[in-house]
Amino acid sequence: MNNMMIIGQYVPGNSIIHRLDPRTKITVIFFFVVFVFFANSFWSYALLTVFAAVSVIASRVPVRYIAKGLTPIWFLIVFTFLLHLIVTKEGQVAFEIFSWKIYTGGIAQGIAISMRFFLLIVVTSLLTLTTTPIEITDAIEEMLAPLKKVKFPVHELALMMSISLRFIPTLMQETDKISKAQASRGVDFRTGPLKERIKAVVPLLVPLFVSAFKRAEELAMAMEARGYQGGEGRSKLRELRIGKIDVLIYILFICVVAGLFLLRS
Amino acid sequence: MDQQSKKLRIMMNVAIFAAVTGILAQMEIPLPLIPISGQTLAVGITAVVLGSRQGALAMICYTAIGAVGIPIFSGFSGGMHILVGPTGGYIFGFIAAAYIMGVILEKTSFTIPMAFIANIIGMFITLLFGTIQLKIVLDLGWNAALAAGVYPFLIVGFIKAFLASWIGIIIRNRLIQANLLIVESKRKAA
Repeated sequence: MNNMMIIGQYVPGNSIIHRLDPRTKITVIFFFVVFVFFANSFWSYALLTVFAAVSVIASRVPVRYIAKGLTPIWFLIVFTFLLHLIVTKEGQVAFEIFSWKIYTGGIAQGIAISMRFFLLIVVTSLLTLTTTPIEITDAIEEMLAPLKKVKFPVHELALMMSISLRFIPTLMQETDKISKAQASRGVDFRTGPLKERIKAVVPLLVPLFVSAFKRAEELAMAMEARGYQGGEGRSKLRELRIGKIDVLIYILFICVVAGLFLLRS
Repeated sequence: MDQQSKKLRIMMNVAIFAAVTGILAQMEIPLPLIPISGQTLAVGITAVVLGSRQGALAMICYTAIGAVGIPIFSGFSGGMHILVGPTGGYIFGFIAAAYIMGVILEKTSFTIPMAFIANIIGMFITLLFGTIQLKIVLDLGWNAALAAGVYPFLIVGFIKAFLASWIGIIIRNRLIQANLLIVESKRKAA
Protein backbone atom coordinates (compact mmCIF):
# COMPACT_ATOMS: atom_id res chain seq x y z
CA MET A 1 0.00 0.00 0.00
CA ASN A 2 2.84 2.38 0.87
CA ASN A 3 4.54 1.61 -2.37
CA MET A 4 1.46 2.39 -4.40
CA MET A 5 1.17 5.74 -2.68
CA ILE A 6 4.58 6.80 -3.98
CA ILE A 7 4.67 5.71 -7.58
CA GLY A 8 1.01 6.29 -8.19
CA GLN A 9 -0.32 4.40 -11.16
CA TYR A 10 2.72 4.78 -13.40
CA VAL A 11 3.37 1.82 -15.70
CA PRO A 12 7.01 1.94 -16.83
CA GLY A 13 7.56 1.74 -20.58
CA ASN A 14 9.27 3.28 -23.57
CA SER A 15 6.40 3.84 -25.99
CA ILE A 16 5.78 7.02 -27.99
CA ILE A 17 3.31 8.18 -25.38
CA HIS A 18 5.80 7.57 -22.58
CA ARG A 19 8.45 9.60 -24.39
CA LEU A 20 6.23 12.59 -25.10
CA ASP A 21 6.94 15.73 -23.14
CA PRO A 22 4.57 15.72 -20.16
CA ARG A 23 3.47 19.25 -21.11
CA THR A 24 2.28 17.97 -24.49
CA LYS A 25 0.31 15.21 -22.83
CA ILE A 26 -1.31 17.56 -20.35
CA THR A 27 -2.24 20.11 -23.05
CA VAL A 28 -3.70 17.53 -25.43
CA ILE A 29 -5.65 15.82 -22.66
CA PHE A 30 -6.96 19.11 -21.35
CA PHE A 31 -8.37 20.07 -24.75
CA PHE A 32 -9.64 16.54 -25.34
CA VAL A 33 -11.68 16.79 -22.15
CA VAL A 34 -13.13 20.10 -23.35
CA PHE A 35 -13.93 18.88 -26.86
CA VAL A 36 -15.53 15.59 -25.79
CA PHE A 37 -18.50 17.70 -24.73
CA PHE A 38 -18.87 19.01 -28.29
CA ALA A 39 -19.40 15.59 -29.86
CA ASN A 40 -23.05 15.10 -30.72
CA SER A 41 -23.31 12.75 -33.68
CA PHE A 42 -22.43 9.13 -34.30
CA TRP A 43 -19.43 9.98 -36.47
CA SER A 44 -18.05 12.61 -34.09
CA TYR A 45 -18.09 10.04 -31.27
CA ALA A 46 -16.55 7.48 -33.62
CA LEU A 47 -13.67 9.86 -34.40
CA LEU A 48 -12.93 10.50 -30.73
CA THR A 49 -13.16 6.79 -29.95
CA VAL A 50 -10.63 6.03 -32.69
CA PHE A 51 -8.33 8.73 -31.29
CA ALA A 52 -8.61 7.26 -27.78
CA ALA A 53 -8.11 3.70 -29.03
CA VAL A 54 -5.02 4.65 -31.06
CA SER A 55 -3.57 6.46 -28.03
CA VAL A 56 -4.13 3.42 -25.81
CA ILE A 57 -2.55 1.08 -28.35
CA ALA A 58 0.39 3.44 -28.91
CA SER A 59 1.02 3.66 -25.16
CA ARG A 60 1.35 -0.16 -24.91
CA VAL A 61 -0.18 0.02 -21.45
CA PRO A 62 -1.92 -3.30 -20.73
CA VAL A 63 -5.68 -2.88 -20.99
CA ARG A 64 -6.20 -4.29 -17.50
CA TYR A 65 -4.53 -1.20 -16.00
CA ILE A 66 -6.97 1.03 -17.82
CA ALA A 67 -9.85 -1.20 -16.77
CA LYS A 68 -8.65 -0.86 -13.18
CA GLY A 69 -9.05 2.90 -13.44
CA LEU A 70 -12.62 2.37 -14.56
CA THR A 71 -13.70 0.00 -11.78
CA PRO A 72 -14.76 2.61 -9.22
CA ILE A 73 -17.11 4.23 -11.75
CA TRP A 74 -18.64 1.33 -13.66
CA PHE A 75 -21.62 1.66 -11.42
CA LEU A 76 -22.11 5.32 -12.35
CA ILE A 77 -21.82 4.59 -16.07
CA VAL A 78 -24.48 1.90 -15.86
CA PHE A 79 -26.66 4.05 -13.61
CA THR A 80 -26.55 6.98 -16.05
CA PHE A 81 -27.25 4.74 -19.00
CA LEU A 82 -30.34 3.27 -17.33
CA LEU A 83 -31.51 6.68 -16.16
CA HIS A 84 -31.39 8.15 -19.64
CA LEU A 85 -33.03 5.03 -20.99
CA ILE A 86 -35.98 5.46 -18.64
CA VAL A 87 -36.34 9.23 -18.54
CA THR A 88 -35.81 10.31 -22.17
CA LYS A 89 -39.02 10.11 -24.18
CA GLU A 90 -37.98 11.01 -27.69
CA GLY A 91 -38.10 9.15 -30.99
CA GLN A 92 -40.10 5.98 -31.49
CA VAL A 93 -41.00 3.28 -29.03
CA ALA A 94 -38.31 0.65 -29.37
CA PHE A 95 -39.80 -1.99 -27.07
CA GLU A 96 -41.78 -2.39 -23.87
CA ILE A 97 -40.76 -3.99 -20.58
CA PHE A 98 -43.59 -4.54 -18.10
CA SER A 99 -45.65 -1.92 -19.93
CA TRP A 100 -42.81 0.61 -19.58
CA LYS A 101 -42.00 2.10 -22.97
CA ILE A 102 -38.35 2.39 -23.95
CA TYR A 103 -37.77 4.98 -26.68
CA THR A 104 -35.06 4.94 -29.34
CA GLY A 105 -34.10 8.48 -28.33
CA GLY A 106 -33.46 7.21 -24.82
CA ILE A 107 -31.20 4.43 -26.00
CA ALA A 108 -29.22 6.83 -28.19
CA GLN A 109 -28.92 9.39 -25.37
CA GLY A 110 -27.86 6.72 -22.85
CA ILE A 111 -25.18 5.35 -25.15
CA ALA A 112 -23.90 8.83 -26.03
CA ILE A 113 -23.51 9.96 -22.41
CA SER A 114 -21.90 6.72 -21.25
CA MET A 115 -19.53 6.90 -24.22
CA ARG A 116 -18.56 10.48 -23.44
CA PHE A 117 -17.86 9.51 -19.89
CA PHE A 118 -15.90 6.43 -20.89
CA LEU A 119 -13.70 8.42 -23.30
CA LEU A 120 -13.07 11.05 -20.64
CA ILE A 121 -11.82 8.49 -18.15
CA VAL A 122 -9.75 6.42 -20.55
CA VAL A 123 -7.85 9.33 -22.07
CA THR A 124 -7.17 11.15 -18.81
CA SER A 125 -6.02 7.98 -17.08
CA LEU A 126 -3.43 7.54 -19.87
CA LEU A 127 -1.59 10.59 -18.52
CA THR A 128 -1.00 9.09 -15.10
CA LEU A 129 -0.32 5.65 -16.52
CA THR A 130 2.49 6.86 -18.79
CA THR A 131 4.01 9.71 -16.78
CA THR A 132 5.70 9.66 -13.38
CA PRO A 133 4.28 11.99 -10.71
CA ILE A 134 7.59 13.88 -10.61
CA GLU A 135 7.43 14.54 -14.36
CA ILE A 136 3.87 15.79 -14.08
CA THR A 137 4.79 18.03 -11.15
CA ASP A 138 7.68 19.52 -13.17
CA ALA A 139 5.39 20.04 -16.15
CA ILE A 140 2.75 21.73 -14.04
CA GLU A 141 5.37 24.03 -12.56
CA GLU A 142 6.60 24.98 -16.06
CA MET A 143 3.11 25.43 -17.47
CA LEU A 144 1.89 27.56 -14.59
CA ALA A 145 5.03 29.71 -14.60
CA PRO A 146 3.23 32.67 -16.24
CA LEU A 147 1.01 32.80 -13.15
CA LYS A 148 4.02 33.97 -11.14
CA LYS A 149 3.30 37.40 -12.61
CA VAL A 150 0.03 37.56 -10.70
CA LYS A 151 1.80 36.38 -7.51
CA PHE A 152 0.49 32.81 -7.62
CA PRO A 153 3.09 30.71 -5.79
CA VAL A 154 3.90 28.24 -8.59
CA HIS A 155 7.32 27.12 -7.45
CA GLU A 156 6.13 26.89 -3.88
CA LEU A 157 3.17 24.74 -4.89
CA ALA A 158 5.46 22.32 -6.74
CA LEU A 159 7.77 22.13 -3.74
CA MET A 160 4.88 21.56 -1.35
CA MET A 161 3.63 18.77 -3.58
CA SER A 162 7.02 17.04 -3.48
CA ILE A 163 7.24 17.42 0.29
CA SER A 164 3.73 16.08 0.74
CA LEU A 165 4.59 13.09 -1.41
CA ARG A 166 7.65 12.39 0.66
CA PHE A 167 5.68 12.57 3.89
CA ILE A 168 2.72 10.43 2.96
CA PRO A 169 4.44 7.09 3.74
CA THR A 170 5.96 8.44 6.97
CA LEU A 171 2.65 9.79 8.21
CA MET A 172 0.92 6.55 7.29
CA GLN A 173 3.29 4.61 9.50
CA GLU A 174 2.72 7.17 12.20
CA THR A 175 -1.05 6.76 11.93
CA ASP A 176 -0.66 3.03 12.24
CA LYS A 177 1.56 3.40 15.29
CA ILE A 178 -0.82 5.83 17.03
CA SER A 179 -3.89 3.69 16.44
CA LYS A 180 -2.08 0.63 17.84
CA ALA A 181 -0.82 2.61 20.82
CA GLN A 182 -4.32 3.88 21.58
CA ALA A 183 -5.87 0.46 21.06
CA SER A 184 -3.46 -0.96 23.64
CA ARG A 185 -4.76 1.69 26.05
CA GLY A 186 -8.29 0.49 25.43
CA VAL A 187 -9.53 3.02 22.89
CA ASP A 188 -12.11 1.34 20.71
CA PHE A 189 -13.98 3.08 17.94
CA ARG A 190 -15.37 -0.01 16.24
CA THR A 191 -17.94 -1.01 18.83
CA GLY A 192 -20.12 0.65 21.44
CA PRO A 193 -22.68 3.45 21.30
CA LEU A 194 -22.39 6.23 18.74
CA LYS A 195 -21.32 8.87 21.23
CA GLU A 196 -18.48 6.73 22.56
CA ARG A 197 -17.22 5.96 19.09
CA ILE A 198 -17.11 9.59 18.12
CA LYS A 199 -15.28 10.39 21.34
CA ALA A 200 -12.74 7.68 20.56
CA VAL A 201 -11.69 9.43 17.37
CA VAL A 202 -10.17 12.35 19.26
CA PRO A 203 -7.20 10.51 20.85
CA LEU A 204 -6.48 9.16 17.39
CA LEU A 205 -6.48 12.37 15.38
CA VAL A 206 -5.02 14.89 17.82
CA PRO A 207 -1.65 13.12 18.21
CA LEU A 208 -1.50 12.54 14.47
CA PHE A 209 -1.83 16.24 13.70
CA VAL A 210 0.51 17.34 16.47
CA SER A 211 3.24 14.94 15.41
CA ALA A 212 2.76 15.95 11.77
CA PHE A 213 3.32 19.56 12.78
CA LYS A 214 6.46 18.68 14.69
CA ARG A 215 7.82 17.03 11.56
CA ALA A 216 6.98 20.10 9.50
CA GLU A 217 8.88 22.27 11.96
CA GLU A 218 11.91 19.98 11.82
CA LEU A 219 11.92 19.91 8.04
CA ALA A 220 11.67 23.69 7.79
CA MET A 221 14.65 24.00 10.12
CA ALA A 222 16.64 21.46 8.13
CA MET A 223 15.96 23.29 4.88
CA GLU A 224 16.96 26.61 6.36
CA ALA A 225 20.17 25.10 7.71
CA ARG A 226 21.01 23.93 4.19
CA GLY A 227 20.41 27.39 2.77
CA TYR A 228 17.11 27.02 0.95
CA GLN A 229 16.35 30.45 -0.48
CA GLY A 230 13.13 29.97 -2.48
CA GLY A 231 12.54 29.46 -6.18
CA GLU A 232 14.87 32.12 -7.66
CA GLY A 233 17.83 30.63 -9.48
CA ARG A 234 17.18 27.06 -8.37
CA SER A 235 18.39 24.54 -10.97
CA LYS A 236 16.77 21.25 -12.00
CA LEU A 237 18.08 17.71 -12.33
CA ARG A 238 15.89 16.97 -15.36
CA GLU A 239 15.06 19.55 -18.00
CA LEU A 240 11.90 19.23 -20.09
CA ARG A 241 12.23 19.47 -23.88
CA ILE A 242 9.67 19.70 -26.68
CA GLY A 243 10.81 17.39 -29.50
CA LYS A 244 9.69 16.47 -33.00
CA ILE A 245 7.15 13.89 -31.85
CA ASP A 246 5.50 16.52 -29.67
CA VAL A 247 5.00 18.85 -32.63
CA LEU A 248 3.64 15.93 -34.66
CA ILE A 249 1.17 15.05 -31.92
CA TYR A 250 -0.03 18.65 -31.71
CA ILE A 251 -0.67 18.71 -35.47
CA LEU A 252 -2.46 15.36 -35.34
CA PHE A 253 -4.64 16.53 -32.47
CA ILE A 254 -5.58 19.76 -34.26
CA CYS A 255 -6.67 17.63 -37.24
CA VAL A 256 -8.80 15.47 -34.94
CA VAL A 257 -10.47 18.56 -33.46
CA ALA A 258 -11.10 20.00 -36.94
CA GLY A 259 -12.59 16.65 -37.97
CA LEU A 260 -14.78 16.66 -34.89
CA PHE A 261 -16.32 20.00 -35.81
CA LEU A 262 -16.91 18.84 -39.39
CA LEU A 263 -18.65 15.69 -38.22
CA ARG A 264 -20.94 17.40 -35.69
CA SER A 265 -24.58 17.39 -36.62
CA MET B 1 11.21 35.09 12.86
CA ASP B 2 12.16 36.63 9.51
CA GLN B 3 10.00 36.60 6.41
CA GLN B 4 11.71 33.74 4.56
CA SER B 5 11.69 31.40 7.49
CA LYS B 6 8.05 32.19 8.24
CA LYS B 7 7.14 31.48 4.63
CA LEU B 8 9.04 28.20 4.74
CA ARG B 9 7.18 27.12 7.87
CA ILE B 10 3.83 27.97 6.30
CA MET B 11 4.79 25.90 3.26
CA MET B 12 5.71 22.92 5.41
CA ASN B 13 2.42 23.16 7.31
CA VAL B 14 0.44 23.29 4.10
CA ALA B 15 2.34 20.33 2.64
CA ILE B 16 1.87 18.26 5.77
CA PHE B 17 -1.85 19.01 5.89
CA ALA B 18 -2.23 17.98 2.27
CA ALA B 19 -0.54 14.69 3.17
CA VAL B 20 -2.70 14.16 6.26
CA THR B 21 -5.84 14.83 4.21
CA GLY B 22 -4.69 12.17 1.78
CA ILE B 23 -4.23 9.67 4.59
CA LEU B 24 -7.50 10.45 6.35
CA ALA B 25 -9.29 10.13 3.01
CA GLN B 26 -8.46 6.42 3.11
CA MET B 27 -9.84 5.91 6.62
CA GLU B 28 -13.38 5.22 7.57
CA ILE B 29 -14.98 5.57 10.96
CA PRO B 30 -17.46 2.71 11.08
CA LEU B 31 -20.83 4.02 12.21
CA PRO B 32 -24.09 2.13 12.03
CA LEU B 33 -25.61 2.41 8.52
CA ILE B 34 -23.32 5.02 7.02
CA PRO B 35 -19.57 5.09 7.65
CA ILE B 36 -17.90 8.50 7.92
CA SER B 37 -15.18 8.91 5.35
CA GLY B 38 -12.21 10.85 6.60
CA GLN B 39 -11.87 12.98 3.49
CA THR B 40 -14.37 15.73 4.26
CA LEU B 41 -13.52 15.45 7.94
CA ALA B 42 -9.91 16.27 7.09
CA VAL B 43 -11.05 19.23 4.99
CA GLY B 44 -13.00 20.62 7.93
CA ILE B 45 -10.11 20.13 10.34
CA THR B 46 -7.66 21.70 7.89
CA ALA B 47 -9.78 24.82 7.52
CA VAL B 48 -10.34 25.15 11.25
CA VAL B 49 -6.67 24.72 12.10
CA LEU B 50 -4.98 26.59 9.26
CA GLY B 51 -7.51 29.28 8.39
CA SER B 52 -8.50 30.58 4.97
CA ARG B 53 -5.35 31.08 2.89
CA GLN B 54 -3.26 28.23 4.22
CA GLY B 55 -6.28 25.95 4.31
CA ALA B 56 -7.18 26.63 0.70
CA LEU B 57 -3.54 26.20 -0.31
CA ALA B 58 -3.44 22.83 1.45
CA MET B 59 -6.50 21.77 -0.52
CA ILE B 60 -5.03 23.02 -3.82
CA CYS B 61 -1.92 21.03 -2.99
CA TYR B 62 -4.01 17.95 -2.15
CA THR B 63 -5.95 18.27 -5.42
CA ALA B 64 -2.76 18.75 -7.42
CA ILE B 65 -1.09 15.68 -5.87
CA GLY B 66 -4.16 13.64 -6.67
CA ALA B 67 -4.22 15.05 -10.21
CA VAL B 68 -0.68 13.86 -10.92
CA GLY B 69 -1.78 10.31 -10.19
CA ILE B 70 -0.99 9.63 -6.54
CA PRO B 71 -3.95 7.68 -5.14
CA ILE B 72 -4.82 10.06 -2.30
CA PHE B 73 -8.47 10.68 -3.11
CA SER B 74 -10.92 8.52 -1.19
CA GLY B 75 -10.80 4.81 -1.91
CA PHE B 76 -7.18 4.97 -3.10
CA SER B 77 -8.11 6.73 -6.31
CA GLY B 78 -6.10 9.39 -8.06
CA GLY B 79 -5.39 10.90 -11.44
CA MET B 80 -6.80 13.58 -13.62
CA HIS B 81 -9.68 11.32 -14.63
CA ILE B 82 -11.12 11.49 -11.10
CA LEU B 83 -11.15 15.28 -11.25
CA VAL B 84 -12.99 15.44 -14.57
CA GLY B 85 -15.22 12.51 -13.62
CA PRO B 86 -18.62 12.76 -11.97
CA THR B 87 -17.28 12.99 -8.41
CA GLY B 88 -14.50 15.50 -9.19
CA GLY B 89 -16.65 18.49 -8.28
CA TYR B 90 -16.53 17.58 -4.59
CA ILE B 91 -12.75 17.81 -4.66
CA PHE B 92 -12.80 21.26 -6.27
CA GLY B 93 -15.44 22.16 -3.73
CA PHE B 94 -12.96 21.39 -0.91
CA ILE B 95 -10.77 24.30 -2.02
CA ALA B 96 -13.62 26.80 -1.96
CA ALA B 97 -15.06 25.30 1.23
CA ALA B 98 -11.74 25.47 3.09
CA TYR B 99 -11.23 29.08 2.05
CA ILE B 100 -14.69 30.24 3.02
CA MET B 101 -14.67 28.33 6.32
CA GLY B 102 -11.35 29.95 7.13
CA VAL B 103 -12.66 33.42 6.29
CA ILE B 104 -15.73 32.92 8.50
CA LEU B 105 -13.59 31.86 11.44
CA GLU B 106 -11.08 34.65 10.94
CA LYS B 107 -13.85 37.27 10.81
CA THR B 108 -15.46 35.92 13.99
CA SER B 109 -13.52 33.72 16.37
CA PHE B 110 -11.96 30.29 16.49
CA THR B 111 -14.45 28.63 18.84
CA ILE B 112 -16.30 25.33 18.59
CA PRO B 113 -19.78 26.83 17.90
CA MET B 114 -18.45 29.14 15.19
CA ALA B 115 -16.40 26.31 13.72
CA PHE B 116 -19.54 24.17 13.63
CA ILE B 117 -21.47 26.85 11.73
CA ALA B 118 -18.54 27.34 9.36
CA ASN B 119 -18.34 23.59 8.77
CA ILE B 120 -22.03 23.36 7.93
CA ILE B 121 -21.62 26.18 5.40
CA GLY B 122 -18.50 24.48 4.10
CA MET B 123 -20.41 21.24 3.67
CA PHE B 124 -23.04 22.96 1.52
CA ILE B 125 -20.36 24.60 -0.61
CA THR B 126 -18.72 21.22 -1.21
CA LEU B 127 -22.06 19.65 -2.04
CA LEU B 128 -22.93 22.52 -4.38
CA PHE B 129 -19.73 22.12 -6.41
CA GLY B 130 -20.04 18.34 -6.35
CA THR B 131 -23.64 18.26 -7.48
CA ILE B 132 -23.13 20.74 -10.31
CA GLN B 133 -20.29 18.66 -11.75
CA LEU B 134 -22.24 15.44 -11.21
CA LYS B 135 -25.15 16.97 -13.07
CA ILE B 136 -23.02 18.20 -15.97
CA VAL B 137 -20.88 15.10 -16.44
CA LEU B 138 -23.74 12.62 -16.16
CA ASP B 139 -26.21 14.96 -17.83
CA LEU B 140 -28.79 14.43 -15.08
CA GLY B 141 -31.84 16.50 -14.14
CA TRP B 142 -31.72 18.51 -10.90
CA ASN B 143 -33.85 16.03 -8.98
CA ALA B 144 -31.72 13.07 -9.93
CA ALA B 145 -28.51 15.00 -9.24
CA LEU B 146 -29.74 16.02 -5.79
CA ALA B 147 -30.85 12.47 -5.00
CA ALA B 148 -27.46 11.08 -5.99
CA GLY B 149 -25.24 13.91 -4.81
CA VAL B 150 -26.74 15.65 -1.78
CA TYR B 151 -29.37 13.78 0.23
CA PRO B 152 -27.23 10.74 1.11
CA PHE B 153 -24.59 12.97 2.67
CA LEU B 154 -26.68 15.30 4.81
CA ILE B 155 -27.05 13.46 8.12
CA VAL B 156 -23.52 12.19 8.16
CA GLY B 157 -22.45 15.68 7.14
CA PHE B 158 -23.80 17.13 10.37
CA ILE B 159 -21.96 14.57 12.50
CA LYS B 160 -18.83 15.26 10.51
CA ALA B 161 -19.18 19.02 10.89
CA PHE B 162 -19.42 18.57 14.64
CA LEU B 163 -16.39 16.29 14.75
CA ALA B 164 -14.31 18.54 12.52
CA SER B 165 -15.03 21.66 14.55
CA TRP B 166 -14.47 19.92 17.88
CA ILE B 167 -11.22 18.20 16.92
CA GLY B 168 -10.07 21.16 14.83
CA ILE B 169 -10.34 23.60 17.71
CA ILE B 170 -8.62 21.20 20.13
CA ILE B 171 -5.73 20.75 17.70
CA ARG B 172 -5.50 24.45 16.97
CA ASN B 173 -5.26 25.33 20.64
CA ARG B 174 -2.64 22.65 21.29
CA LEU B 175 -0.54 23.85 18.39
CA ILE B 176 -0.73 27.48 19.46
CA GLN B 177 0.29 26.40 22.97
CA ALA B 178 3.25 24.47 21.56
CA ASN B 179 4.13 27.47 19.39
CA LEU B 180 3.98 25.36 16.24
CA LEU B 181 1.27 27.21 14.37
CA ILE B 182 1.91 30.41 12.46
CA VAL B 183 -1.21 32.49 12.85
CA GLU B 184 -1.58 35.06 10.12
CA SER B 185 -2.77 37.98 12.16
CA LYS B 186 -2.99 40.89 9.77
CA ARG B 187 -4.86 43.11 12.15
CA LYS B 188 -2.35 42.72 14.95
CA ALA B 189 0.51 43.55 12.63
CA ALA B 190 -1.19 46.65 11.30
